[in-house]
Amino acid sequence: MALLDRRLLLVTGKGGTGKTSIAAALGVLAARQGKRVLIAEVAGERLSSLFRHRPVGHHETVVEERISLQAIDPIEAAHDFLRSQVGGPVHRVIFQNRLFNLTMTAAPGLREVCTVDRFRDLSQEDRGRKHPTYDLVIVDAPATGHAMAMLRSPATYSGIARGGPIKKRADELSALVADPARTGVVLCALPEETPVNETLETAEALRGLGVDLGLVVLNRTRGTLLGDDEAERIGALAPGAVDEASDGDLAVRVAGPVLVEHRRARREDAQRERLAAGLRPGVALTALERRDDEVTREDLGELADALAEAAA
Amino acid sequence: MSAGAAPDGVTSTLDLDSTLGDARVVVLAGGGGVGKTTTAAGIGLGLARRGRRVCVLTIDPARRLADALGLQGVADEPVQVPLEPSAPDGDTVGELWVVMLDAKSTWDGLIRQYADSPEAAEKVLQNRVYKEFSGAVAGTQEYTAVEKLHELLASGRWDVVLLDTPPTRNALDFLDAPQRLHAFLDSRALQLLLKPASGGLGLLGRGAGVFTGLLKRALGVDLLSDLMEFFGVLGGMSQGFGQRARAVQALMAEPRTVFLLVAAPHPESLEEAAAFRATLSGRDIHYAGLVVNRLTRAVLHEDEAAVRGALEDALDDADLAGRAAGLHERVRGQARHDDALIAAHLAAPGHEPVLLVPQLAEDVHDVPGLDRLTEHLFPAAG
Ligand SMILES: Nc1ncnc2c1ncn2[C@@H]1O[C@H](COP(=O)(O)OP(=O)(O)OP(=O)(O)O)[C@@H](O)[C@H]1O
Ligand SMILES: Nc1ncnc2c1ncn2[C@@H]1O[C@H](COP(=O)(O)OP(=O)(O)OP(=O)(O)O)[C@@H](O)[C@H]1O
Ligand SMILES: [Mg+2]
Ligand SMILES: [Mg+2]
Repeated sequence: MALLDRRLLLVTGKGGTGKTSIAAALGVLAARQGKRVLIAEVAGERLSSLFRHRPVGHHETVVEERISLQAIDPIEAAHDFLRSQVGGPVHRVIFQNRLFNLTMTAAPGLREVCTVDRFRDLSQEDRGRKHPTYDLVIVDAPATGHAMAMLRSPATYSGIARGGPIKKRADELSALVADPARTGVVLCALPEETPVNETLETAEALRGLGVDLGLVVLNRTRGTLLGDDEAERIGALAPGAVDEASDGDLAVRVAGPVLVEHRRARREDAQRERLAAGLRPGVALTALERRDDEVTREDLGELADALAEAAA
Repeated sequence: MSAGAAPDGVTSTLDLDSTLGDARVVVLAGGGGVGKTTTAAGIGLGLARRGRRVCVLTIDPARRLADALGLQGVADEPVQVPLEPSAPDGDTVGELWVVMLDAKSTWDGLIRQYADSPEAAEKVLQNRVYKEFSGAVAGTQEYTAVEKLHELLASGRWDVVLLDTPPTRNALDFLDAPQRLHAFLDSRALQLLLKPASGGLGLLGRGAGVFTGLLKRALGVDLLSDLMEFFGVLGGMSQGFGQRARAVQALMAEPRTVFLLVAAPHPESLEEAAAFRATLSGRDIHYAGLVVNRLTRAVLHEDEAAVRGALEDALDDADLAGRAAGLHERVRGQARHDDALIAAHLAAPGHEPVLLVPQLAEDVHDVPGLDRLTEHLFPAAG
């Protein structure tokens, strides 16, 4: 199943690996293909500023042609769910209070289930006349640990609940996240040891949950232009350790930085190979080059180009 | 030799030797993956090499570093890292110890300590809400980290304890977590919810019974009985927690407790530092400065042609010189970005001292690696 032909994509990975940038780039890519896209974020709100829009909060908001954003608030998500169950007026009387919000904070997995239920609602093929329908919902999910807890939450909740509407819904949600025709995960990684370890562990954990890993994006890769011997020849121009700044001729001063960069690139190549070898056959892996500057709205087109082949 | 981060461009203004001269606690805060754990270990090693007895409290260290320090499988117990004298003339070395925090087991220990009886403790440990709470709920890891810090200091075995912190989007989360947690445990609203019959202020009265019934039906979980049990026991401990939270606050405000922020050369990371500084100014906290880690180094003011020419003269290999100059030009782009970012930061009024640590040629995953890092953390000593 092509990545963008599913209804729900969850983009996760270790902190700072590029989840937000990649979720946004995938959104731009899908919109370019004529899809109506909603990008939802769960931990905080960064996407609106990336799209140069005022904060959108927990409201589905169109920010560009065919692109909407929502910053999901888990407590609000729980209220959305309860409202859909009991109707607005009853909900207002019973659940709109501090006590309920406090209970929510302590309930195991409840916020997560309700958040996943938001994804379900947003990604429905027909949301009725009152709500816009999207062809694709992309979730800029929290970092891996929390994202996995989120994916597990329907099953967890279903296990402890003895009945009630949430349990019923939780079973539906388990089916949604485990359906590769509807749901896929995009894992972001950096070409370093710990992030690669974590990516491989997460890939296995997803398999265990029966959730399809649609794409792994290795972000911020660099390459070298030199062979190892050549790089060492250049490094040998500097008298001290490569890590140290040297004084002297220009050739001497550039030697350290060039060798450091070369070794780093080589180490990253090795991590990339380790990642490729560790993933199950059939899992798509693609790399995004490191850029000098932070990703802005203008860069998303290029990132989308770079992801296009892997997402097809 | 100077080990400033860039051959030209911005230079460090933070001197750890003088800043940490008589520190008893050093807290390292910062965003995810910026190098908090590595920096904490590096500073710890540097201080140990200066003769001090040091303990580093680490949180989720990278596996290879943990293994190299002898931490595999040892949670919650200090482990001593054997140190050979760094120089042949052998300065007297102090001690370097590391502990790996296990939030869950620290919590379990606290429950056992504060519960009225072993039975009461056991009940909480099995409680569904407690299990959720002690595992991953935001704030609990931060809380247990300071708990552990307290324990280490109280033992009197170390001159200085370095506190690595869990990654936070906002460095202040770390400072506020214990307080928030205590407020949560102490929440009057919850007490009222859980003791609807006690009337008290009569805020809820009979309504509470209806409310709890509806809640139970909606959630399908008799969460309330678990919650009641949880708060029944934890509520009883709340006084103990409250005292602890105050003690921690006092400790954080002590003159010998020093805060350092670790950041990556990214705008978001530096913005976070600015926010941290702004909020700290209203508090009794000793914020010593910012460690900008993994800075890219290059020769900033020479273009590709000049570098190619110089390398051609030095190597007598035009092809290689051309490619190496190309690679340098790429690094220079990154280095200029980093340099401009820090220059802008240093130009802002009221900025803090900054220590620049370059990207090293190798990952830092063992004691020799930490020693290399230490040369950049304490450059004057090199
Ligand atoms: N390929 C790239 N080259 C250079 N910088 C990048 C690249 N991808 C992302 N970045 C930058 O790295 C930083 C982190 O990226 P981003 O915010 O997308 O990651 P994240 O995984 O969402 O982070 P968080 O865990 O904080 O939510 C941002 O400043 C972003 O602009
Ligand atoms: N100056 C440096 N040069 C080269 N590599 C470095 C440097 N500082 C840190 N690293 C490497 O960066 C990686 C991340 O460092 P570290 O684990 O200390 O980050 P952290 O902030 O503690 O991360 P987390 O938020 O996940 O706890 C490690 O592999 C470490 O070896
Ligand atoms: Mg993000
Ligand atoms: Mg760490």
